[in-house]
Amino acid sequence: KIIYTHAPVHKEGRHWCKKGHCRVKTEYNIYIKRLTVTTMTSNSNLSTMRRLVEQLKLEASVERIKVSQAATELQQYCLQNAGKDALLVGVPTGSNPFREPRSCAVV
Amino acid sequence: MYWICSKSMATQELQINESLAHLKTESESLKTKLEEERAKLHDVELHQVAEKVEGLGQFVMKTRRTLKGHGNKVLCMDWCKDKRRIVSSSQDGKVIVWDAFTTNKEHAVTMPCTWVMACAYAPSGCAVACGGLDNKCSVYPLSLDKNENLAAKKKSVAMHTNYLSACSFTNSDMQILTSSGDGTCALWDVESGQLLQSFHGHAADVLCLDLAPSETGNTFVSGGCDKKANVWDMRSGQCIQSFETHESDINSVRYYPSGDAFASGSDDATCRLYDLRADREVAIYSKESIIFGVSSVDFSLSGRLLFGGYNDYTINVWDVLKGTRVSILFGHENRVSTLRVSPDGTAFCTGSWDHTLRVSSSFSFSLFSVISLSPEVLLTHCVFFFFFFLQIWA
Repeated sequence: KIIYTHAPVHKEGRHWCKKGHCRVKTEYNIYIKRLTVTTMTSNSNLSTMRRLVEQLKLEASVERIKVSQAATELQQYCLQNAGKDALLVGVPTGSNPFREPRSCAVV
Repeated sequence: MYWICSKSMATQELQINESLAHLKTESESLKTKLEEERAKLHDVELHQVAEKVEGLGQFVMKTRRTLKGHGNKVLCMDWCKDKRRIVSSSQDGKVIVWDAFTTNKEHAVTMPCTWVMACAYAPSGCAVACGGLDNKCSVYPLSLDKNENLAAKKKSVAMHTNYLSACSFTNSDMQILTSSGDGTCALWDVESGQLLQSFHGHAADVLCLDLAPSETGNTFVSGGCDKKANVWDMRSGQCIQSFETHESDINSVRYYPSGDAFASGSDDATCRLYDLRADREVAIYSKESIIFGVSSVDFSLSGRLLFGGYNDYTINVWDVLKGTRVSILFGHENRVSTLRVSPDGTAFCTGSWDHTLRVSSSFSFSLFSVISLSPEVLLTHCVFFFFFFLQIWA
């Protein structure tokens, strides 16, 4: 955990970090975000809760199909397009645009 | 008089508290109902359906080009539709447009801010968009004249209240979709800079987004620090579906090529595949030996392979249908921060904190050419494959 001796100052998006190793997602940033989230949920007012309930009702009413059917269709798409997939089957060496021009007969 | 006012206020407060509790119980019951509905349709696993499919065997991926020129960590990259140009952005504020075939730098722009976390190429190839800690998304039109100062023609499009984490052009050059650390995504008109639609629903920073692949598609998926991946309708601004099975921040989301599913990569070291029509997670790609988070994911053209860039400096390639790892690529000297497959699927490019970008493709091994090899070359190849398989089984 990064410990700060003073509160970071937000100046145009910059924030003070320990030892100059500035990771955007610093532990402090995450900590502050989680603090904001907990305060928000504990002070949740009626309108937020109503919106949440409406959202859940919307999600519950989504039309769903069985996983077996969805999986079969994903598999079908893969197999149909497998021939065109250069990363899967490889391309004839002459037509690979990224091949380095070499005289070696490998590949 | 005062006593009557305070009494009515007290009863009002009591009513609010009661309805709040009522709404809370309702939301809890709706959540359990949603889980039950999803579980009812979970009759089989994806890898069980794919048992009859031929296995892929082990793959070898080889780095074809190394793009050197950034002075600091590469944070984001994007391919141009011409399958040749790449735009990349880094921590030092530089945005560079490369020609991946020749490794030449075509354009370079210095942004006024550091940590340019998002960059995107316009579908026409005539502009790039980028943004980061400046909370803005700026569009730079690319001119053919190499001496022209690109920074002069900069156009500020998006304004957020926190850092810009991802941006993407929609099907045309005219609209940009952005996601930000302030927890929202937004759709902007490039010409006027106007906000067309905003998407609220994430409870923490939104780290990534991806547009649905179809021409007429108007949905996109976003993932955030609240461990949720949300699918949104671009026209109404509504969240249509939400998935919360990851155990940590979702760093990257990518649609399956058919548009019916999407994959996500997270700090919990797993990649997961979610099917949109079954409305649930259908596969997890993880191994006990992999403990570092995934920073970026992308599918190959057919959707059979899932590439994941990890924080342990490697790229793992997964068989999407069977759930097994088919290849591991080393080469970067620091964590892989971004990974994209080229538009025609011939290669993929990875950017890393070691200041370089690498373009890699699969290494096909033809038996005919082995026979024509000289003994020394054959021996070195045998040694290479021996060490390679040793690493796979380790």
